[in-house]
Amino acid sequence: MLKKEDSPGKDGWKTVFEQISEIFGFGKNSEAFELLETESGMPPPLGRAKDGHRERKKEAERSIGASITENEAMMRRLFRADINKDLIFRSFLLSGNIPAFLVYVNGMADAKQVSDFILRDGMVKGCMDDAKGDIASFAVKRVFTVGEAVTEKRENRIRQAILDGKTAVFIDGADSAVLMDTRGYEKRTVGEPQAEKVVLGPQEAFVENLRTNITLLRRILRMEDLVCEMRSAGGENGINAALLYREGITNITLVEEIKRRLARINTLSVIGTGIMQQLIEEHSLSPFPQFLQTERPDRAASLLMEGHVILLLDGSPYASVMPATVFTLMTSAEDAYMRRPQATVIRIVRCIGAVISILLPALFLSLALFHQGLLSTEVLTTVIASRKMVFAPIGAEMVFLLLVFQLIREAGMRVPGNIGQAIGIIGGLILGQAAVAANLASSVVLIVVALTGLGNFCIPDYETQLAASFFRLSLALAAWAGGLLGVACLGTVFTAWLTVLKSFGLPFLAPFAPKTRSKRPMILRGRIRMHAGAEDMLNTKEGDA
Amino acid sequence: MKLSEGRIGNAEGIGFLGIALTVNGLFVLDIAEDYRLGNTAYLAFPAAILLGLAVFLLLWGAMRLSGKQSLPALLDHALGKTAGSLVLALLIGLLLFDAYCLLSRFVTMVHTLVYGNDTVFTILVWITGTAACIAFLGFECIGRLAKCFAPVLLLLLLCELAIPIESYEAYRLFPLPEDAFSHAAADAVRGSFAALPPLVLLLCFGNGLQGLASIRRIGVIAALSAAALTCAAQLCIGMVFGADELQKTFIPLYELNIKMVAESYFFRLDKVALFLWLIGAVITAAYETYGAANLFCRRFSRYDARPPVIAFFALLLCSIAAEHAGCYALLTDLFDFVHRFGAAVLLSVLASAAAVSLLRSAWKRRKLHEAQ
Repeated sequence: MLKKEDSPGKDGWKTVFEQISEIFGFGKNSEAFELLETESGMPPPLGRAKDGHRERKKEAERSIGASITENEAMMRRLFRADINKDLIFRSFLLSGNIPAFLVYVNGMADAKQVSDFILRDGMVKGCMDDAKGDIASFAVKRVFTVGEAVTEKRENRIRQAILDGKTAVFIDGADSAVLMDTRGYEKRTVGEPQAEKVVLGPQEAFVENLRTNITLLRRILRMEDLVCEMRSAGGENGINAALLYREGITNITLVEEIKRRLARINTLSVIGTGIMQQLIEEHSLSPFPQFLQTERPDRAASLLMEGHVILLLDGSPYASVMPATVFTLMTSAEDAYMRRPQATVIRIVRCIGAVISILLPALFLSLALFHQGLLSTEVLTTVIASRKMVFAPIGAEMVFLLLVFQLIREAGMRVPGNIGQAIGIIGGLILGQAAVAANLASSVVLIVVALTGLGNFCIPDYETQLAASFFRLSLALAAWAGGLLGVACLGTVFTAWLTVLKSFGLPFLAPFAPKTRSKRPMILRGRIRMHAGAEDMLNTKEGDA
Repeated sequence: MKLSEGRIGNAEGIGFLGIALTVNGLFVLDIAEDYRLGNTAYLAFPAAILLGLAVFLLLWGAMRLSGKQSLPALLDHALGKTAGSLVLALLIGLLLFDAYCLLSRFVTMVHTLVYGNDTVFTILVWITGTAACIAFLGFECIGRLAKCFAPVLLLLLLCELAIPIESYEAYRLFPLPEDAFSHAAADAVRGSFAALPPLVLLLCFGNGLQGLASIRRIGVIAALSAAALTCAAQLCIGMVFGADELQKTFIPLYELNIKMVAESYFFRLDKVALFLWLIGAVITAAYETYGAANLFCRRFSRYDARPPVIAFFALLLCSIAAEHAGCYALLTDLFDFVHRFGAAVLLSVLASAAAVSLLRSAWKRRKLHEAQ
């Protein structure tokens, strides 16, 4: 028998509503971690929420003060020195009597340079005895023996410089800090190109270090008109970017437009050229890239010489060349090193490969599904015989095999070297044979897909290969739906899209449509002229001349 | 104004105008009507283009003398705003009618010759959709696309004419009609409805084609090339098929392919050729419809050519679908009327507008001279 206190009631047993609330956790304060931030308000019911970073107000440029105590407190607060242990704060007496301190990021700056050329020189007694007025400038001129040293008053510039690997020295009584280039972080040595291998020509590739990449270019281009503008991109993160062009030769409108687009970027997510490109290109939905990405300094230098603009980003081993056309994307670095007939033949083969890669599956599907009359009896009999036991419709079979091809390619690329090759062999030979034996695919369709794959690899640029895959699959689907009519219609629409596509104002099909005075680069490789005039396609000054 | 005009060069202009005139000359004109009394098509078709060229040059001269940069401005100058608007409406109507004829003809061809089992509407949607996409992307796109495909179509036509070279017999060109030249001239006037609108439309793109001098160059080169090509094609067709045979033939050029390449090395490539010509037709329809939309925008001060482009293509789609569904006999009669007399009306109106404008310009100059 139940006692009174055990019986259901207001204070005893829980009511049904309370039990349901407990099960579903109604009215409970959630202590679980939530990643979805709603601090800036709820997202609107339609459309996307505004970007949090974009809402931040730009901080006004503040100057540092003359008091060393205040400056140190400010720096410690800025860099969260209490929890941030890789920031080195070192106090010392400059000239033996002036309180000073230096700040640098451990690992980004070279500690040996700091101790040898800043601390040792700064602690020499009497080195600041003649100082009058601006003591920071005096220290730059007379005390510190570091190659690159400047004074800076603005707090955000000082902060950015420290994060770049420079060392900042604050001196009591000076309202500016001394910034010294002591960068000495680890970097990869210059190696061979991975994606743009050539037989003839240099075997150097860009690395992740911006300085090294600029040096690689400057070593090839020894011209005084080569300008390297350093800019920071990516909002507060301020990743270093270098814009290279030939001052007085490159079209100034193009340079200004690129600068305008770079200045517009206000996001923290710029960590590589790919992201940067997406942020500054015109047609973000285009399958075709509007940049040429190269890892070869010689190729970048050659395009720079013609009047293109190059963007290098710290931490990225690729140069982004602007503007790019379909013909630029179809050329390889090796073309220039070969004799004219050889390069021309190779380019023609490459173009045929690209056409096969894009059109062959669609044409085969059209003929096999809708226009059997166009095939000769022998070919038709072979196709029918090979598909005798295949249960899937030919369209599904083709799309399936095209997807399998992409699968093998993707798997082969993502795994380490030798295993990647093994996957290619397994996918290409064993899987193909097994698919035919298991009646999952016919041998004719397999050959068509294999030829398509070969054609695809003839395209030198990786992103263009991916664009070709997109077109190939779309055309194959159109062929499945409408035969040659579908291919003709969708092919025309794709060509129409290419005609309106522009890369930084340059039509994508130039110099063919529109025609320009210079015919380079096109399918046939032109002769290398004695006078290296810049291409008029880019409206360069040399082109005008 | 966001009329998507852009700027294109001479090669692009010659490309789309050449394609438009050649495709119209080879596929749009009423074949049975042209061969009813004998074979003069090889004279009539090029003559229609040359007649269009003459009116084009007359209008161009009037524009140059009056200092007007586009056709709507010239028409306003010559006929006043109201009458000018009416003539512009007639031109827009003829352009749309021309696009309608071309698309309808190709829909019929593709349906009859290739996709007998499919519905006309499916084919219509493919073709009209493609043309609408191109027109939507604007004038620059049409020009550059034409430049890409013009060499392909030229090569195709030359191959189509070269393959049956052994079958050419001059005697098949006979019988000529009794009054061959007057017959050809009448056919040329009637057939100019296909040649005149694309040529005259060129005068509306002073900006896009970089000035009046370029427009004249483009018009003359494209019209003469198209006249030569249609003349050569009709002559070759006439030397392979007799006039009686041609009266019963649906599309002589296609018939030429199918007869000559059967069992040869180019076994049944006729359908490939048909689809290449289809691309030419799509470019032409896009040019004419975009042109009509552009004129509409200019007249009514609209700032975007894309909405009228979509509206015109919806209109074309519905008209062609209704035509193939066997609806509206009244409209079919109207189309027949425009087919026969539309060009004559436009020819006379445009010629008189040019003449009035020339006279007014001359009179103004004289007055100015006297005042000085």
